[in-house]
Amino acid sequence: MAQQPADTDEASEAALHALAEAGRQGACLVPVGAGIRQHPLEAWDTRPVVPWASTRFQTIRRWSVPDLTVEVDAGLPWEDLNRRLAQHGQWLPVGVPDGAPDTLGGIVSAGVNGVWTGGYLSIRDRILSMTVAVPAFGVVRVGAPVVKNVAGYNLWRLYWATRGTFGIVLTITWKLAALPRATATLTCGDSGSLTGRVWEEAGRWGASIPTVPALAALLLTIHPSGWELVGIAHGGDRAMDRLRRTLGAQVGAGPDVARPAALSDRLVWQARLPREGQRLVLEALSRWGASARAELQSGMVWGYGQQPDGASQEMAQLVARHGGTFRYWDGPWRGLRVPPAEVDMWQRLKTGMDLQGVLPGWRAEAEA
Amino acid sequence: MGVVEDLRRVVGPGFVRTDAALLDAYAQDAYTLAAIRPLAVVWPASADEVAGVVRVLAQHGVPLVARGGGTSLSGGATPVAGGVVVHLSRLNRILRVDPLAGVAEVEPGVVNTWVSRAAATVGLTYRPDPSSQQACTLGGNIAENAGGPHCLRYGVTLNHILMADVVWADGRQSRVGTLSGDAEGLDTLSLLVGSEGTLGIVTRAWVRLEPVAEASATVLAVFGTVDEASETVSDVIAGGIVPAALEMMDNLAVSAVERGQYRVGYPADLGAVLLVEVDGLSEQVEEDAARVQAIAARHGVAHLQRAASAAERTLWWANRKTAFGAMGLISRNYYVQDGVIPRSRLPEALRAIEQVGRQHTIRIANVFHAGDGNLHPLLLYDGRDAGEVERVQVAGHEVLDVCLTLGGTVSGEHGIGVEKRADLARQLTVKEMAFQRAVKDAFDPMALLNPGKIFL
Ligand SMILES: Cc1cc2nc3c(=O)[nH]c(=O)nc-3n(C[C@H](O)[C@H](O)[C@H](O)COP(=O)(O)OP(=O)(O)OC[C@H]3O[C@@H](n4cnc5c(N)ncnc54)[C@H](O)[C@@H]3O)c2cc1C
Repeated sequence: MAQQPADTDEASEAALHALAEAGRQGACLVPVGAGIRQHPLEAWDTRPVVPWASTRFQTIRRWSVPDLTVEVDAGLPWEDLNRRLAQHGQWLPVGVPDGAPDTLGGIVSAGVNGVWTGGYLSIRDRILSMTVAVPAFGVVRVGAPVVKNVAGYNLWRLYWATRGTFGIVLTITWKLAALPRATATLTCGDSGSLTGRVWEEAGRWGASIPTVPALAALLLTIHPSGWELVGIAHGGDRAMDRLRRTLGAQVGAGPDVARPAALSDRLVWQARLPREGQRLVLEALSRWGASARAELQSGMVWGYGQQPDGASQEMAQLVARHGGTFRYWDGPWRGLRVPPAEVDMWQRLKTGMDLQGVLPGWRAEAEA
Repeated sequence: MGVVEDLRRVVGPGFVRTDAALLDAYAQDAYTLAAIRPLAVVWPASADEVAGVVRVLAQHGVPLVARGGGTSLSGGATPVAGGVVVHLSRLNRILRVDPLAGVAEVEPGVVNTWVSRAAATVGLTYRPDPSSQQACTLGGNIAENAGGPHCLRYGVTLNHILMADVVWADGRQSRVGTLSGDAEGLDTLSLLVGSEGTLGIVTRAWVRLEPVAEASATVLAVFGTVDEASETVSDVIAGGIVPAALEMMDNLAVSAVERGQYRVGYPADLGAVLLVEVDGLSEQVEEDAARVQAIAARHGVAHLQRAASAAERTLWWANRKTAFGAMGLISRNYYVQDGVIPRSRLPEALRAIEQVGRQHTIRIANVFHAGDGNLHPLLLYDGRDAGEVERVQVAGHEVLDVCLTLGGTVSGEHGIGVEKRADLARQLTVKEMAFQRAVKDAFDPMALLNPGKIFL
């Protein structure tokens, strides 16, 4: 009757073997997907670091078309999955903001939110279940492969943006969406730095589309020579036609928003902020002449390329002051923050799951 | 000094009670198959008082159960023998509604509908709408990760809580989550939501408010058979339509609710009724409503009707949301089950549940969140008949076996509590149970917070 974890398959066996081997060698096992958001392995830990290459396993394990759920190996790139899902009119609304071929496990472990976060929620909210290899428990399933579940603690959330701290993610079960029947695109832009026009225009579009979410994505791109605002609406033909009539939207296949033409630099950080904070951060970035993208409905901001000296640090502080979160995908791994009141509890959990400390640890930081 | 005196020093003498009649009133929540008289009930008025209470209880090694509205259907708020009930009803303020940020800051004793009402004054809404929303509290909703009819499209409590203040088992306090809705560092908030009061006590929460859609349409679809209705549900989902709500009631449930205060006038011989709500832009609503109606027609719908007014829509929802209570009109007692199945398996799940009822000669009504496969079979019984009580419990567990056999889970929204500890242990492997247990042991090593829940 119990859930069937993929206990005996090749990926599970390989992961358990790798954990045991790392334990024997006194090494730290770090999962690596496509390597796109990877911090340099040598700077990870004082111990020798052994990578766990998830890309060896890339199959679609179980796809229930009528339930709109799919279970996939963590090493499968998100675009490969979407190509397959399109055959039955479905997709996983990821849209990695630089269009890179991240693996689904990598997206989870690095906590990458995509361009559809405003319209389709954070990709984290589409995870229903995972199988994970944990030193103390072997291969276990966390969550359940149905769209609603409160049986036990929300353990799958331990694996979001924690880079293998609590185990190796082997498979992920996702809640899918139907591909939109029609698309409409709104655009505006200007040269020079960000002006009030951005917020006026975004506000006007939002006010004309009184529903939740107003748009599938509302993306602002800023770069040294100007800015562009793109709104993508998904829906039925008649709703899209209304946007054409009232807002002058282009109806038909939209631009590939996962690949911003204006940004050739590398994506190096991601932040998520409350609305007002997002605006202040974007204005600061524009003043600095930085390259960035933002999804204005969800508070997401993505920073590209080399930042001016000290800007990343200043940005991280600005984000924190406005109640946001900040993740670097560049330079050495900075660890995960734990407030002092929670350090003992998390330490006990980590020890209970990974007695030998085979997986990456974290740094407890003093509260600001 | 005794524990009761120490508690009085923290919250004031009037806010610790030990009189038998009152303790008996706290012996149960809405799960009526378990009752335990607590040692005392205490009413703290602030987060610091909650922390003080927890520290006193930790010093004395006395366990506690946080209590909100006491509407848990799995016995989550059932007291622990020799333990103290910490009732959060004095922490009942809505501290701020920020329309620009779309956030409300609330205390845990705030009743769910108060938040929706406060949000409505600024044109926003708080989505999670458990049918118990007139009585259950935000603290209880967070602890149970509550759902509700309109969670199909907009997500459950977990998707609507941004940040919370918590008192831990050692009396220390911290703020978890961020106003951005993302986790920074270790995601303590996600563990806390749905933890049934076993990891920490929530003393304040920041919840997400959202704009109301421009238009909505509510469609009633009456079917001659349960199979036709459940096949319609499966096809709506498979068709990629995500209604705001998609609820189902079968004949027995309708026969009860039609004796209640909110009568829709359903035909007496119906097999099942679907209540489908779609929302969005007006054109989108028309398209989605038409698609839903066409699918229902394909499955032989007997009667289709769209709510013609806000009053009619309100009546239909009041009828649906009072369905559990209405069971009291056709049966002395009823036992609510809560399990989830993959949505495509709805027709066979309902047939299997009917079979369970027949086998144990228990009448089973069905009122549930069909769109996400969250079943709520209501098992009717007479509590005076010990044999029937036993049969109803066995049948309840067999209903959950049906869910597990079809690849589902033993709880979609009511939690494990005391009721489903054995069922959870059947759903999970031994190793998976050990993983769950490791979290409890790490956060509450002395087992002071709501012990005896979730785990056997
Ligand atoms: C008629 C009826 C209909 C219902 N319909 C639904 C529905 O549609 N959807 C749904 O999800 N549920 C439903 N329920 C179940 C119930 O209402 C929910 O589980 C609700 O969230 C419980 O809230 P409460 O305030 O009553 O909590 P309680 O019953 O008082 O407590 C529930 C749990 O929360 C813990 N708790 C309470 N406050 C705190 C706090 N501040 N910090 C930490 N832990 C705390 C308690 O210890 C306990 O474990 C229904 C119940 C009834 C009786």
